[in-house]
Amino acid sequence: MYKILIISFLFSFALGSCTKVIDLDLNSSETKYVLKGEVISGDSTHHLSITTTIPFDEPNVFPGISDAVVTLSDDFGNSAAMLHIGNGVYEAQNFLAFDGRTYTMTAEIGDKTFSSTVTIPYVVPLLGATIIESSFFGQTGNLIVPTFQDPAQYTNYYKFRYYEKDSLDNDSGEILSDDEFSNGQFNQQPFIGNYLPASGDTVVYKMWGIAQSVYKFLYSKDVNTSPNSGAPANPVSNWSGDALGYFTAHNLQQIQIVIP
Amino acid sequence: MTKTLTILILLFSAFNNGFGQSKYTLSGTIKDSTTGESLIGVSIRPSELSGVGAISNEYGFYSLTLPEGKYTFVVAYPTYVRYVRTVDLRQNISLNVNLSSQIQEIGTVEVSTRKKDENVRQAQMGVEKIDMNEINKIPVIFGEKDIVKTLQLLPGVKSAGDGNSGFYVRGGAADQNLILLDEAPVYNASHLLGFFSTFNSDVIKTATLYKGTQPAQYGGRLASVLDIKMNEGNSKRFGAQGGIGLIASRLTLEGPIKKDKGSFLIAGRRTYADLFLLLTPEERGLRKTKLFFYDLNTKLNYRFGQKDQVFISGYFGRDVLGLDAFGLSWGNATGTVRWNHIINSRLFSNTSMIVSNYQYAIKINGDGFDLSIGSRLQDYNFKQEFQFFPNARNKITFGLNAIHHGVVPGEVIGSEGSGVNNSKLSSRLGLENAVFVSNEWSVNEKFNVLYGLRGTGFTVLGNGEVNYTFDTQGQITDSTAYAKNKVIKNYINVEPRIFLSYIYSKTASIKGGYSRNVQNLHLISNSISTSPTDIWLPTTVNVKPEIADQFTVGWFKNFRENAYEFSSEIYYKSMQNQIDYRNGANTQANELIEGELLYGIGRAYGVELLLKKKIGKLTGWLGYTLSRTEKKIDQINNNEWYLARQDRLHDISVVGIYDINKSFTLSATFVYSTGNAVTFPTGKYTLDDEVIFVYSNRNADRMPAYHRMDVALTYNIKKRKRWESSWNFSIYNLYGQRNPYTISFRESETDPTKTEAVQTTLFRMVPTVTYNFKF
Repeated sequence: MYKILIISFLFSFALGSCTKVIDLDLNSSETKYVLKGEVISGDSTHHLSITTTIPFDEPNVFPGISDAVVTLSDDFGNSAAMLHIGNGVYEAQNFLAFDGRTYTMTAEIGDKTFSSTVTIPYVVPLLGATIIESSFFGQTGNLIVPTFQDPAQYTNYYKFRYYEKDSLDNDSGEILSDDEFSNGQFNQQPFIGNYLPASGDTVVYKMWGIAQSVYKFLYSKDVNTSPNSGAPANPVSNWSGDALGYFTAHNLQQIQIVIP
Repeated sequence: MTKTLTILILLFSAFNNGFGQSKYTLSGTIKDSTTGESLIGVSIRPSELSGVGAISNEYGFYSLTLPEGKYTFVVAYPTYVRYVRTVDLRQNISLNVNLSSQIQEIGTVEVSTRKKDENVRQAQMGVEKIDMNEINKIPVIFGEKDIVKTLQLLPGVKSAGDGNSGFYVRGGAADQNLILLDEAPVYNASHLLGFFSTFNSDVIKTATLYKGTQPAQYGGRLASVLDIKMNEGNSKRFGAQGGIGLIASRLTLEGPIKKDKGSFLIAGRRTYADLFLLLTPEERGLRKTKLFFYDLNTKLNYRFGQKDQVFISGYFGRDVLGLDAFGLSWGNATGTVRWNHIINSRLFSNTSMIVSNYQYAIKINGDGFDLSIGSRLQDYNFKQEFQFFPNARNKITFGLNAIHHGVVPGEVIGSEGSGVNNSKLSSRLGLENAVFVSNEWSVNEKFNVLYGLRGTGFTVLGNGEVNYTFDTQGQITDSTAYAKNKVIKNYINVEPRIFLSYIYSKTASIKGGYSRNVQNLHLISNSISTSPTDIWLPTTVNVKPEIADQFTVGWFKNFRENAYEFSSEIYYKSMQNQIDYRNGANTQANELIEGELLYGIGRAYGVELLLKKKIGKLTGWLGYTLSRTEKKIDQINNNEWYLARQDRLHDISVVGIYDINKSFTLSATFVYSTGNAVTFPTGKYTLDDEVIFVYSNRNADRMPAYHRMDVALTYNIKKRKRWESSWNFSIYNLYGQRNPYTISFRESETDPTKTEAVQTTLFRMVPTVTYNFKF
């Protein structure tokens, strides 16, 4: 990430680089299914959306698949059919999800079957946040340090996102972290995104506990699509079968902070 | 080991006597008469005998054994005054020669021009010697003269990118080049993310590139060896030279420690782009930004008596990049101590002790949150080489080399209260040993052979920590802790090399050769070109030594009294144990990095054509390469062959240098090459309200072709007393071609329902002025 930041900085600063929109004749590939399934701990309604890929030069209209047979099950023997509710989205109801349980989602589309299994990590309680005032490139702003105690006995994967309440523009975007260097530590790290909150902002702060296969997908999505990647490739999906997208079962916590 | 060496020396001495009473040796050292610098590659030939002669070695030493008799020896070197001396060879004679360069005495005596036909005669193939005079005249970006950028203009050598000092040789990757500075390997030979090489041209004496065809005394990389020798420093008088450029300045000081006995040289270079940042408006916040590099080269040498000389040379370079709270610094440090000893008139010894270090660190300084992530590599290297000159037709080089590699692939250090566990990835230790013997044999006037054998062993050593073994899916199959320096595994390889030349007419020859090379240090990189944060890994239990076999044939022909040189070479190279990484691999500070790697094979083949004009007012060359480079890696591209990123079918370079008169020199270069093989999207989809691109076959697309013309004008101001100076004006990318550095894809700014391709161009016309001086 630093690499990209530094390189783009260098190029834009010293060397007077320039960009131009060009016409390229791109190859097209066969249409693939794109599945995004989500099970949230504590919820009893869960979703899967199924769409397909489209050629690069077409407008961004992604057709939904409505004739799939979808089931959701857990490792306690519970199972439910997920029904199509429009635009390629399938829904399971009355299926309460818990931390530590393992969920399997299966979709049959024509003669193809896609399946994925994920265990919801145990929640790491988000206790609050501390604010650090900082300046970047002449801009003063505030960094948010979420307060939590990383458990030493597990490898944890986190996702964070914070945004200004009722604002569409001020959004950090998705921030990934694991505890590779901070296992068992009380968090001190500000996770910095594309939004530097100002004094007086009301900020919604979200923290997800995600599974390793989900982290791998999101991480590879970031790495492989970066302009600096030597060999761009599709993110590492946790679906069996040749599908794009991912299935996540996770816990989610959310707090609201007013920046002093 | 010492015993073995003594026996070997005795053996060769016996060999020496066995030739009978009637042969004697002429030997000595060849130097520049004004600076006292030893001269490399000078030919010494008796005019009475054709097809025999000696060439001075990398320390200026030569040895020539001939039957008793009276000979007229001609000592010739380009741009130097020819030295002729008649010697009555009735005993072993020591003859040190001081050659004077043409600058002082032009017009009065005959000057040796490069009428040499060495390129036709010698068996060595795939070799390029860089003329340091050309480097001063060829236009380069930002006016920073650079040997690597001049190399990139030769057939078979390709630039890693616009303005980049990384290079690919005959389809090899950037890490498959061994770059030696006074015998010390330099691991990341570039500055400012690749735009400048680490070599300060002012202090370089010679640079030779072997395109995978290196003699047996060199080894360790698949694609090439770039052997760079630094100047020794003027042993006659004190001098200085330097340059003031657009982005950097240079200064070199040199002089005698004791006249004709020893000398020193110290050179520095620093960029000052960051100083301009102080002029930017406060609110842009760029004033705290750091962006510079510097280099320091030093060298000392001292001659003890007639037979011994000691050299100490060192290099230290650092890049510093700081963006507010983020900082990145990296650099190389090398040190070499060498001892030359002339054992007898036919046996020359050089002993080297070398240390190489490369490291980088990313620093984050927040308020109360300091973090440093880094990696380090350190080599201890011992090399003993003998050169034995049994007679006028053979030159035997033999010796041994032992290197201890230590790599810390990742290290994280946090400040007190940063909430970070300080951790160090387990270091990778290895011992790389080699023995080599090589003979340059001039069979007769028409037939020359260069052959040799290099045996290499790599020992994977324990580090006192856990070693992991991975299966093909990257899952851990074994984790065993080994004691520090316990031998875990040995890899033994034999590398034969043979090159033959047959001179079928006075000016033409055909050549053929085969060489095998083995590489035990591997760069793990997932970016477009090399980056300072890429990690070097030695061979381990999981990572096998890379092996390349290269076959070469060529036709060499000189025209018009050797004024024009033409060469054509065809090569085929097959490579084993090539390394790539899994999709989405985490290469930064990853303890299990070897589980992210994939292995396969590669092949590269091509034709290289080069026509050079070496004398006259207009000099230069025309180079063309037609080549293909492919890889086949398990689990990538459905296990099918695919093009390597650096595969460029056509590559053309034209270099012209025109000496208008004594004061002005005009030069121009033009390059054209097929675009890199890249992977473009083949479709798109939506996920989490984002548009994401679909990728299919690896490197199935092409960047647009690259072409560019550069020009330079050098104005040499008339020399006053000892003060020489010149102005250099250059324009990089004269006609402002928008060569794409990257092509990326994004949502259209005008219509968000559409996606578009955007190309980024780095350099559109860069004019530069540089002032150089010398006294």
